[in-house]
Amino acid sequence: MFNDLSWTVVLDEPGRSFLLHGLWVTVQLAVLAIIGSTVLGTLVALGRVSTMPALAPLRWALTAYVEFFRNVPLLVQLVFWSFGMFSLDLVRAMAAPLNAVYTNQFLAGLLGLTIYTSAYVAEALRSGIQSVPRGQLEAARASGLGYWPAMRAVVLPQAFALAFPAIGNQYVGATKNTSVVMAIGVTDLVFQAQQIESATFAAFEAYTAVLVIFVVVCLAESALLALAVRGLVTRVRPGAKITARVPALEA
Amino acid sequence: MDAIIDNLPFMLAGLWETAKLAALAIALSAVLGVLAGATRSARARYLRWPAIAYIQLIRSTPLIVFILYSYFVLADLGLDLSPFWAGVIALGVFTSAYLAQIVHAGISSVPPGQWEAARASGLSHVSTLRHVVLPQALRRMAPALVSEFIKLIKDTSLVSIIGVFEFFHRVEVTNSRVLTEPFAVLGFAAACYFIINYGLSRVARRLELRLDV
Repeated sequence: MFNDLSWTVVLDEPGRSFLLHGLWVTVQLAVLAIIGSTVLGTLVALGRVSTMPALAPLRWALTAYVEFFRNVPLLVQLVFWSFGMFSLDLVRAMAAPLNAVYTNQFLAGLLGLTIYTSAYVAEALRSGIQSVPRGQLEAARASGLGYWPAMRAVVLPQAFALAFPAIGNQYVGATKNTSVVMAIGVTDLVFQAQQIESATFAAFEAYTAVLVIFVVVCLAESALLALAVRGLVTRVRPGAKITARVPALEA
Repeated sequence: MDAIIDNLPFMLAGLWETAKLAALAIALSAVLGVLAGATRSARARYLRWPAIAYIQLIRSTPLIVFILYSYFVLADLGLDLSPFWAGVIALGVFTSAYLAQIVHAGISSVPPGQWEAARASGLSHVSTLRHVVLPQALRRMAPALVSEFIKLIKDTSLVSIIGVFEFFHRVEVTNSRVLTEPFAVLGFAAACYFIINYGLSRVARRLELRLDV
């Protein structure tokens, strides 16, 4: 079998443009999901660590949010968004302006991936916020800052620096999880590989090409994030020791 | 609700398939993971580097690519596997890389005095691992291991793309037959997964408290 490999299937047209289009969709999905999940995850984490008694129902709801979206498989969530929500006329009407650029399946996949990743980011950031020494918040408030200004200026930057290894792991996880959207019909890299495979029966070449692309992208992303960790830790907490990378025990 | 009640036996039979899939994959990943993790912690470079390569390579690929690879490419190589067994192998090998990382962290956390005492008593390297270090390492890492198994149970839903009739595939089939109640059917699936996984994560948390000496 290894004698008659035809790499032209993935290196020449039309295979190459298929894969490049798929890579472009994957990259867009990953970048947008990373940004969206960071914003959403920060809001959720801030809500969960608040101490006001009036916000207790919100805290309970956010805990339920995090536990629910972490324990339900991503595929189930994506099918919910694409076959459930995007079959409703109201949702389709709201998404209509974006349909010029993004298909409904892409938007459903983006929503599902963003919310799924935001639950993990929120969890990582919450433990980061709680690892910042309590004295920081107390000193900031004693200096006259209100609660939210103190969080924003003093606690959150340190929390981000502490939690960034875990959050970076989630970013790489989100990049890998973009592959699941192929199951709801988004034309990402894996979907395109399947297209090539069903047209040419060259399964080994098509899937190996996708494997190589993913390995390169993920290793590059991990290296970039490791650099960012060093930059963040030394800038936000000058003199802080950069401890050895702890392997992610929780995803 | 009618859609759920009418199709309940069909969908719940899928839970048994999922359980079989998960159990076999957990067993495979445990064996490979401990092997890879122990090799990752070896002192000899010719052992350590292949283990690191194995772990990093697998951790950089998405599971879906892995599943498709093991189903289509192994068939090309002559190993004609049923979708179920391709799924077991894919899940087992994939999770073993993550378990290996956890096992390596566990082995590194055992105090070096244990190694020295065992070697001084005459035990070989492998015997020390088997009788002294690994039992301690695995006990410390038990909550993280359970976390990985929970992830594996969630990942069993992905083998539906190669046609394994596990729980989520059956839910999808039910949904496409009864097109009128997508939210009810999918909500049922989400609730099932949530109950199973959340229950297991509580077990992990209790393990963590009990072993936190």
